[in-house]
Amino acid sequence: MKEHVNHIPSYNLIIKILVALLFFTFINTVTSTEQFGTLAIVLSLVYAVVKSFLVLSYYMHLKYESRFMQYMVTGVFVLFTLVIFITFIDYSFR
Amino acid sequence: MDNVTTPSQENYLNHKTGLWSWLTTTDHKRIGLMYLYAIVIFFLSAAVLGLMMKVEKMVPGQTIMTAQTYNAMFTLHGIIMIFIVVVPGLSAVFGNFFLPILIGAKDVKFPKLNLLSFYVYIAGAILGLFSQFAGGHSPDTGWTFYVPYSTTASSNVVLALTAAFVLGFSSILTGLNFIVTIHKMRAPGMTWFRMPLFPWSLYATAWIQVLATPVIGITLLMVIAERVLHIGFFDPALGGDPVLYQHLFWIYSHPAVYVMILPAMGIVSEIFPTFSQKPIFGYGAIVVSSLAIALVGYFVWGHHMFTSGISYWSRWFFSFLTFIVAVPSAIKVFNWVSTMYGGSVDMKPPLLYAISFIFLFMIGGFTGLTLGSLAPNIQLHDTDFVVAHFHYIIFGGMGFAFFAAMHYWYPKIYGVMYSDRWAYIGWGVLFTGFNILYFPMFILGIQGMPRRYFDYLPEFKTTQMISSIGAVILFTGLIIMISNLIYHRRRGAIAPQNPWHGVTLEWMIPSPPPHENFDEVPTITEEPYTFHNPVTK
Amino acid sequence: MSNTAHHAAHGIDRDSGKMGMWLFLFTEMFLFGGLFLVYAVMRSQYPKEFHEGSLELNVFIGTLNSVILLISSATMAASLTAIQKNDKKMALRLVLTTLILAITFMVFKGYEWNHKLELHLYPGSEVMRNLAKGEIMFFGLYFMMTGLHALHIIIGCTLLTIVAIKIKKESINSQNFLLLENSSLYWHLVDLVWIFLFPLLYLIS
Repeated sequence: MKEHVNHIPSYNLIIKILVALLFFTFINTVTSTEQFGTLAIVLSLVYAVVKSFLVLSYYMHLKYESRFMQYMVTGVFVLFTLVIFITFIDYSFR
Repeated sequence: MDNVTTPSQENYLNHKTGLWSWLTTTDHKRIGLMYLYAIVIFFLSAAVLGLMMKVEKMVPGQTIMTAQTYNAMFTLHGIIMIFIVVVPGLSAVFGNFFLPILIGAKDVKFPKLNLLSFYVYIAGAILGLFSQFAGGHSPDTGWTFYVPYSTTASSNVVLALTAAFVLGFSSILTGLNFIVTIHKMRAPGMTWFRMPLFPWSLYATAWIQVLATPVIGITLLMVIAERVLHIGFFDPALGGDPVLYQHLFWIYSHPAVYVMILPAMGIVSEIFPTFSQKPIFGYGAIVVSSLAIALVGYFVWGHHMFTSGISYWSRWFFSFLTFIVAVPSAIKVFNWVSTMYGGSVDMKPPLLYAISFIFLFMIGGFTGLTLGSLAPNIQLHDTDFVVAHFHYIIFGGMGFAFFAAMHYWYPKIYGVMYSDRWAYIGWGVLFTGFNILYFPMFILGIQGMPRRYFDYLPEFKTTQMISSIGAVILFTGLIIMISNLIYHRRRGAIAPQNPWHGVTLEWMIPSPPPHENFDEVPTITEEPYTFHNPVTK
Repeated sequence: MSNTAHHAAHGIDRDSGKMGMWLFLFTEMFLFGGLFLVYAVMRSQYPKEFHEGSLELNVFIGTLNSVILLISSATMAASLTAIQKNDKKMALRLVLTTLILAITFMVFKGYEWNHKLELHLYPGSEVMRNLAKGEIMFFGLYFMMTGLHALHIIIGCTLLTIVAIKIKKESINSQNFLLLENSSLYWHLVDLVWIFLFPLLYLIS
């Protein structure tokens, strides 16, 4: 495996990410308090996915890890989504 | 040069002595052996339980035990065999012992974690036994712990659930260790596609262990929560759904079947080239099919639930994928058979066991497809047909691969040879007994004999009797086989370094292997199973 | 000669250690994943009752706890940066901040649970049994999910304490910080779980 340069995220970057995370949390509370209907769930999930993407890539350093690690994590999320999807083949058509 | 008789002076067995040095060892070989002894003891005790159940069923009516005892027995038999023997089985014993050697490493990546998973395993096993003897009723839910019975039964279910949870944790740690070991510890020159097939199968297995086991963990926790805290996820009275339990249970427990069988496939993939003195046929196909089985095997859990009221499309989907997952298994069978074709086949005991593995595994596999098709499943679900099917897969498949591995690597592990003659006799009795025991159960199942019943109608009398006689023969065979191995541990002839003329790395080091496996880290320059001077007879 | 076998005794190389940790995190994801699956199924069965149930939860405290956990994640990430820059004091300070934030989270969580207990809203209670089935499920899931999450916070606190002591003793330093790195991975996962738990339990309408 190739050696990659050890990348250290700066304090500055960490704070920027934190601001983004807090921003999405705030937006999330706003879009759910007003009556957004089913859209609110979708939006909540979208925000959660964006937030976890930020945490995974910057705080958990996935952005600086090897390709393999990135595939691994993506694969695990895909696998979990598939499991939910397949379970719902049962529950949606009962 | 290969066959110079050199008992190595300093090896892992005499490197340090005393019980304490074993209990605190981080040597993967010693940990493998400790697993072996624990597993053999548990296997024999659970086999005795199985034998007693068969004796009970020899004639109709109650004979040697009550119905309640029978229920407790098949539960204990299942818990021990699945969680304590078969799931850890091959990877914990032979994986631990041979994975580092086969990839040219001195140990696994996290040796201390390896020892920890052994103790977690022992703790889980003790808890499991404790649940039986802790007073009150022994658990009688079957190893599947199906709700609603498992949440309402008055027996010690919580203890048994905790035991399964703890054992799962041990399995996870082993899997984690193996994945990192395979990624980071391969000898120089050993690229992924120069890796022997047993490590490949362990790699696929380890991924399932890591990704599926936590699901059973949380499921068992939910059942415990339901019993202790009255959080009724699976209780319809509180809004829960019992079928959801089955989904969650099989999301783990079906992939677990592949945790059992994949290493077995890896082991026979080692044995066939050696005893045919010929490279394995279709190395790449075997690797890819291992990974394919691991992946697709994750998505077929619902075929255990065809009669549980899951939706039409769901049944369609799971049945379809069940047929798909049979394809990579079939590919492997063709590869093994083709490996023997044109080779100089030497019918030593390990090969004999490996061939019977194919035979029994195929019967198990085909009947699996019968069960995987929707229409017959309605008729056969929860009958002895199912019991026969999974014994052909788990005992005939994984069990025979275990015996094959034991006979294949015995000279390497202990540095002595067993008696070929007794090995053949043991095999003959075992194989005969196996088929007499389990084959009639297919017929019983088709005729409508339900599983887990301690009594039966008079019309099943003859077939039940035959099956029970088979159990006695099978047990005799086990005794012969194991006695042969135990007897020659001290008295066997000194084994040469490479008794079978194998070409994988374990045969390049002395028998038994030295404490650190290799004096010099080997450099790999070619594909595995390259026979430069095949030995012909 | 015995490089590979022996360095295990004294720290494992960073790449392998991290990989092992990630694999462990996967098992954590699937542990919570099982609960999320139950949530998804139950929610699809009882959308209305889940809405009713979530109205019972205190959104303000939930939001506050989210903010606390996000900040604690940031301080943890920053402490990893600090140790790599060989700023021991800063790293220690940041780990301790994380620890304090974690404890604050637990205090709020405890307040929230306590409130539920006062209302007799706990599994098995008389009040709970008289609720609609879907609401019973909602609160069952609420307690199970936040309970398991809180357990992870407590384990995290223990881990953070050990890390703080080791930084103090300099056995974690700019050359050897695998334990800090893995603890921070663990801490971010705990945060990650909450990122999903918070909207699903508190905000669904």
